[in-house]
Amino acid sequence: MSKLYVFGIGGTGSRVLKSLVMLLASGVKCNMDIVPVIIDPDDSAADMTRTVELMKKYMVIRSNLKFAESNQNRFFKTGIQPVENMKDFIFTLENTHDGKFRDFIKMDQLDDSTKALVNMLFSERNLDSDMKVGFKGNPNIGSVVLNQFADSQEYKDFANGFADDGKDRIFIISSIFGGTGASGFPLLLKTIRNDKKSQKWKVISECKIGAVTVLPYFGVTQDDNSEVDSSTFISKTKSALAYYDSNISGNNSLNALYYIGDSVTASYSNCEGGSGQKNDAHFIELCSALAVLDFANTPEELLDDGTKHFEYGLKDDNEGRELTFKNLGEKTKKSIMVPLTQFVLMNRYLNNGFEKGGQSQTWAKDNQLDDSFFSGHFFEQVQSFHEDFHQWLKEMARNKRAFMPFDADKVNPLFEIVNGYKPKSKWLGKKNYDLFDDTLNSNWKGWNGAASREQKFMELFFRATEELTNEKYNM
Amino acid sequence: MNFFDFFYRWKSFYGVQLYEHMKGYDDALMDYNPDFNQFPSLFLWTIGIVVAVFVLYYYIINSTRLVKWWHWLISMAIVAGLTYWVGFRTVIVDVNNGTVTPSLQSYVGYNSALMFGIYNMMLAMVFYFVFTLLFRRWSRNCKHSPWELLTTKLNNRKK
Amino acid sequence: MMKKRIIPLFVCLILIGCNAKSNRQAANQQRANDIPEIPMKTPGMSYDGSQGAVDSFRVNVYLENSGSMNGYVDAGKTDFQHNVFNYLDDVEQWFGSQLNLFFINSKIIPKGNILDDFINKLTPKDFKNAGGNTSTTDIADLFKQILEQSNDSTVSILISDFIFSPGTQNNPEAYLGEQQVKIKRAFEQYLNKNSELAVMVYQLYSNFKGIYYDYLNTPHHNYEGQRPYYIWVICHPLKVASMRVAIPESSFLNRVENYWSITSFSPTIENYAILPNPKKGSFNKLGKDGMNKMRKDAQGEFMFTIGANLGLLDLLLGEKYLLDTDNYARIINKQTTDEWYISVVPNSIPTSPATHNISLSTKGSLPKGDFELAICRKKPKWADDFTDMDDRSLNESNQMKTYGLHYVFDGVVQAYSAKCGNYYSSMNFKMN
Repeated sequence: MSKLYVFGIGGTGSRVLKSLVMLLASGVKCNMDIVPVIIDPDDSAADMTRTVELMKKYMVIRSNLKFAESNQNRFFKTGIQPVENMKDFIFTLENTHDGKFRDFIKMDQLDDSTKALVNMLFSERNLDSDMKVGFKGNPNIGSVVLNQFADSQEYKDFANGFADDGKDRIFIISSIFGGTGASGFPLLLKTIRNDKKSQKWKVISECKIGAVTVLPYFGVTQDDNSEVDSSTFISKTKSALAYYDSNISGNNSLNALYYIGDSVTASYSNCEGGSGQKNDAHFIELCSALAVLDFANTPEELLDDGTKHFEYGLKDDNEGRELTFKNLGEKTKKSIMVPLTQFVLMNRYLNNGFEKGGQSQTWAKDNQLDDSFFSGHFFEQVQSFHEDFHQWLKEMARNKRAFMPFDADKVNPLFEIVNGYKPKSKWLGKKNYDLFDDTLNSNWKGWNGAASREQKFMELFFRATEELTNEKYNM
Repeated sequence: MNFFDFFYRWKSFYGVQLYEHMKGYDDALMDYNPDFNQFPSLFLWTIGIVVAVFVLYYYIINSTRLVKWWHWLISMAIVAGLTYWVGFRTVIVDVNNGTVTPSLQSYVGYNSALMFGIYNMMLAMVFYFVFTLLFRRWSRNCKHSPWELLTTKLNNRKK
Repeated sequence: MMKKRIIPLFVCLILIGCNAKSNRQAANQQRANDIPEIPMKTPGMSYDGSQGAVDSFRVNVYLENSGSMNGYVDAGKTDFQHNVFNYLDDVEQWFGSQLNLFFINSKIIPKGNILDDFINKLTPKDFKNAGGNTSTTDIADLFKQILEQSNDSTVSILISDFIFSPGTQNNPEAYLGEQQVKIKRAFEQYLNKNSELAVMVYQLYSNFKGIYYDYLNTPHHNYEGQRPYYIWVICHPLKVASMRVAIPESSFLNRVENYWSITSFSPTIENYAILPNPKKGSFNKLGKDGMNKMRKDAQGEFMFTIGANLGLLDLLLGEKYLLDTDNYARIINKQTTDEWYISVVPNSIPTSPATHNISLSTKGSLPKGDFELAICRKKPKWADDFTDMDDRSLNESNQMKTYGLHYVFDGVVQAYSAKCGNYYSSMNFKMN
């Protein structure tokens, strides 16, 4: 299968990647394997760390699964793999951990005229910036530091891994108002399009490239000691958009550009970076992830005529209040509603239903899912992934604007979990987790009893949640 | 010995004379009167209870929450209780109504009814166990109650 | 699907079971309503006393008038006279007409039809004056004369003390043996001509005062005491049943000491079965007359019980005969055996058709094959018990006995055995 290299730049990039991973885990369709590359000088950024850990879990889980014709399971179907030799999906920026920007540019080795030019372009504050936690909303710093990308070993590895048939694609996620993302996106794009040095420079420079640029959707609390100031977000956005117009859209170096933003903004704590920069998941990030999927699923020929521009719109914005599936457009609903519902049902079962005696159920016994399985590494990873998923839903639900498709903490009645969708129920018959177990215990058609336990486990839950979703909701 | 009598042939447990009575011994004929033979209906009541509880547990209630071995044991206890009562009552009614043939009357009393109830209960429990062994495999949720199916165990062991 | 089939089947068989219960209750109730009055257990017989008058037959009464009978008569004052008169009166009532009365010794002497004159007014002088040889008694000849006068329509009643008179014979026992043979011959000859014959014998006691003659014919004067006498009724077997019902032993003025009967009838025992109880050990009952899987009990004994309706035989032979276990033969695979212990008791279950329960037990090996229980034609035990072989002196030990008594019975039984077989009836069982 062709690959889509997804460059997530900065904090936004990491968070969008996280949403993307969640969607892929739930089985949202993607026609390409994903190769994430995180570009963020702040390697201790909590968002990045969370995303990296999530992707590792995804890979561990997926490595135990097969997706042959006979398998119906779509959970974790899309492949996620790092660039060869790239550690933890991260493109490591050299020389940003110790010292300031002035040290990076070797200020003290510059001649006077160059120094003067530098002083004109960069403020003292900029020159004294500690780059360990990123560029703190200064794309001017970022655009210098990120130049090293083109000559890095990681780029060479990326290039070597690119498919010869030219069908692999690239997608870049960045925020337009930040520091790392704002500077990194155009630089990365230029580097790729102007590649003449790498082994596969021709296919790379001619491949389909898409990007999502995330407009301001949150602010930070005012902190005079912090270099991050959300009052500059709009002005920076404007500057960047002007630049994109001439240097990106204008020269057709991109095949598809997705814009996403929101007038309703949340306010986060002002944190310059590091492990403190841990923002709650936001609906915008999910929409940005949808952009990635849209690009991956668009046929080749539709990306041929210059840069296509895309925006995202809600069917109904509910006057700025919390959103559910009912407020989304049909295309979005069609692509994410059923997979997310299935995945959340699995999540609820593993959190609340399993403890009611899942191990003694027929589905467990028939598939050799015994103590050794449920105390094993695979199941542990699945549970951990689901905890992250649960947390992701809760963060989106408490954010502003809130996205609450599910009552994420619902225990009983189980099937009233989808907000805005009343489940069908029978007066007589099994309910809640009993019904779930009953469905899991079904005699499945074409069941491959010889598959691995991990395979069977995931297949079971996929099929059962699919049946329950069909039965309960008219989606 | 006809088919139904066969299951009650351990006469020494509950009394040979009670066996004669239940088989329909009639002093007037000095022989068994087939019209008085209570074994067929008693056996069918007993089997009926076994089948009903079995079907209820494994196929109608078929609950995902009643899959432990003690749940099965409770269903077995229900079978035991009902079939004990059926057996006991069958005899005690005859004792109280004085319909035991005179030559057997002094041998058939409350204790006989008690022992017969216990016998009928044990018979039912054996049948319930056999039904469990043979017919639970098609139950969606309870087929591994009270213990894992042998076929599943063997299959799992092969893997 | 299974449920749909089972439920109706269920319901049907529950109804059968309930029906089984209600059938039993209904049958018990019906039985309670149907239990007839006496007689209850003898099928195929009617006891209408008028049967006597319907058939035209005769009743001949023969009173043996040898000298030994004198002590029994005293112008109506003796027990003998009271009892005999009472009995003959009952017979006359049963007969519905006057009886033909005779004295008998070496010849038959008609004495008209008036019972009172015949019995109550009798004195020893009347005996002597009647005629015939009154000095001795040839018992065989008595039977011969009577039987020559008898046929299917005759009821002959012989009243005598039945004391043989060998007299001065050198070998009294030889005489007795000869008498026995003659008695046997007399009965055989009758049975050759008329295949059916029954005999009833009543042993009674009376006060006796006068001369008794011992077996050597020696007179013993002024003997006073209780002495036995016998009433023999010889008739068609059908009459026996009728008379037994019309004139039961309880109707005799004095107690009937012993009774015996023999008949040419061999009635089939229609209704008999192996009972489930009482028993020792275990067996599997196969129908009414079979068993298999026989096992002894912990003490090594096996016993089973037969219930049998012996009502007709009871009527013909008397209860005591049937309760005497010596009268039963056990025949296993055509071989008689004494290995099986037998006991007979009346059946007390009112709803059971059986009149008697016969229990058979053994500690020996358990047979396989045919087991036959037969009721034998035999003389009564009391015939031997009451036989005296030396009556030259009468005392407490022998005054109730009769000289040579059993020879009479032996002769009669031998005749019947030769002509009618050793057994009245048998019950057959299969043991596997």
